[in-house]
Amino acid sequence: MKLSEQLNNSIVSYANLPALFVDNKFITYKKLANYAKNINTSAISEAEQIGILSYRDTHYYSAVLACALDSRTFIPLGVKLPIARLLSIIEQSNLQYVLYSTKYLSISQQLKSALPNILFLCLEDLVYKDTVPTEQLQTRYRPSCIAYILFTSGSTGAPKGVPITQANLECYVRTMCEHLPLTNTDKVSQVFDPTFDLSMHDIFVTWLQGACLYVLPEAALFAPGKFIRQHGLTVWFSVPSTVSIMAKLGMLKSDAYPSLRVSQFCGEALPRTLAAQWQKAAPNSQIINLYGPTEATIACSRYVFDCNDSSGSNFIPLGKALKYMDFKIDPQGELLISGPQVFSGYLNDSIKTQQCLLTTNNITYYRSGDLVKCDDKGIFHYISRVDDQVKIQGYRVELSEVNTLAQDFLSNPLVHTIATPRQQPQSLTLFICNPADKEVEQTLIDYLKQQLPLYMVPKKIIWIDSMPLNSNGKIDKSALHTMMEK
Amino acid sequence: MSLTNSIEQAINNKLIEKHGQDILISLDKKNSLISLGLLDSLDFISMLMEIENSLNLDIDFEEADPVQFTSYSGLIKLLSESTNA
Repeated sequence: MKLSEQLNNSIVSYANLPALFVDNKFITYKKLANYAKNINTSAISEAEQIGILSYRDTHYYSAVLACALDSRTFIPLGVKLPIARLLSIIEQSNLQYVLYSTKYLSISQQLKSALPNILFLCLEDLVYKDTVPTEQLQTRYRPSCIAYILFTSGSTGAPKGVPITQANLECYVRTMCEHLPLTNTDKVSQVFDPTFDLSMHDIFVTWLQGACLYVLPEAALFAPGKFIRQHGLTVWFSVPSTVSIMAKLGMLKSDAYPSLRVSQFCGEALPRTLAAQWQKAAPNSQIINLYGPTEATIACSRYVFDCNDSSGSNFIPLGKALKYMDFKIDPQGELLISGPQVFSGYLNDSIKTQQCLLTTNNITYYRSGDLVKCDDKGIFHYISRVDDQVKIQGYRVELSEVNTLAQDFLSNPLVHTIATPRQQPQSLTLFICNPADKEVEQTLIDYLKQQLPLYMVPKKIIWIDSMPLNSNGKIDKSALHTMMEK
Repeated sequence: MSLTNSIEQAINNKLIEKHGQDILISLDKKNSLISLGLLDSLDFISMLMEIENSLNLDIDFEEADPVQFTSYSGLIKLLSESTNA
């Protein structure tokens, strides 16, 4: 069944049950559907794609539901992103409309002044129109239609768009609803930023099964322990970094979260010790590690953690490919991913698309860039990257994007960015081969903040006399890490 | 210097290090420093660790509400109360 029809069925079946708990208020499926209908019958009714400038509030979720019901492409516009990056995203997406929450009026005004041909509409004006509630909504379906476009770090200094079709998304949610059966009594966490594809998992897997999505307040994202207990959440999904912070705050005491029955982690490597700590804190919960690049729609493999199994590496394996998906390892050890969740190519970028998609025997594979190995049980394990991509708090960062911007700004000295600590990167450090200059350092940081999301802005800048090189004449990254560790 | 003053000084130092001296002039002390965008979660954790180490404190955050303890005044209150408990 099509995604829009399935969502419509949920709305009818669970009409008076809560779909959303946000800002201390419950919103039923019926109410949310009416908000979505109000949006779909507004000036945007004919629009093929819209940008949503809002952040984890009622309006944001209403707009996402509206787009999903009407097979309209949506592009979440990160409210924490610098204006320059938002402009790049909007221009690349060829948007006709941007819907914004009043809270982000100032951002929308700055965008509007640079993009006079795009219509900016206030979500509050659309959502709260006075209409007669209806049980059944009109839906539209176009399988080739792009469901959403997310932008990830690009190596050349501009973000790159990853379009995910209705068919890609449908395949993912169908599989995940089988792996993660929910009931209408389940309370599911929503901690991910709208620009992070794991947020799509939260929204669609929850709503298709009549459960309630619990949107954690901003401050609680950092230390969610109290929120989980207070609301008796039953399903948890976050990056491992969140758990790491909770551990540092003493929030992983034995049996701290007995209500949790499923805990999922994705976005970065899950250390075995951290999973074991979480298991003690959430003793009734199954722990699942998910893996997948945005290009293969949210996640494409899973592994169920067994705390009695202490064999293997320090990190939880990637597991086995999800149903309908297939993994292959090329001669260099790179993981190739095929199946109906794999995207068709980057937005307006045929060169990058050619580089990452490989077709043999009529099967298209996505080159993940991850070096892996497969054990004798058919379980895949992560080894390292083939390139300089790293994950910071679950977000993908192409280190060369930071290098390019820094180099351009500084008129081409030798620079290199590393992610530290080496095993589980938390932040970036930029090495600049030049005499130290604190004034330039501050202006460079200010410039990078205007161009990049905060997690991509180096926390530390180190000025060095000469860049260490290895025997092949390449930058010796290991020596830079050693310098940092000293 | 009292413990409360030492805690206040440590938070001030972190904010000045990140944003310069002027940040303290019209600082919103009631709202979360993270929500205000003044510190990210890593900055906040490293500041907590520094305060705990330098003042020899061992704070239990298990029951603490992050909406409260990530604010300037909320953090001072929690740390001061924890050491008095």
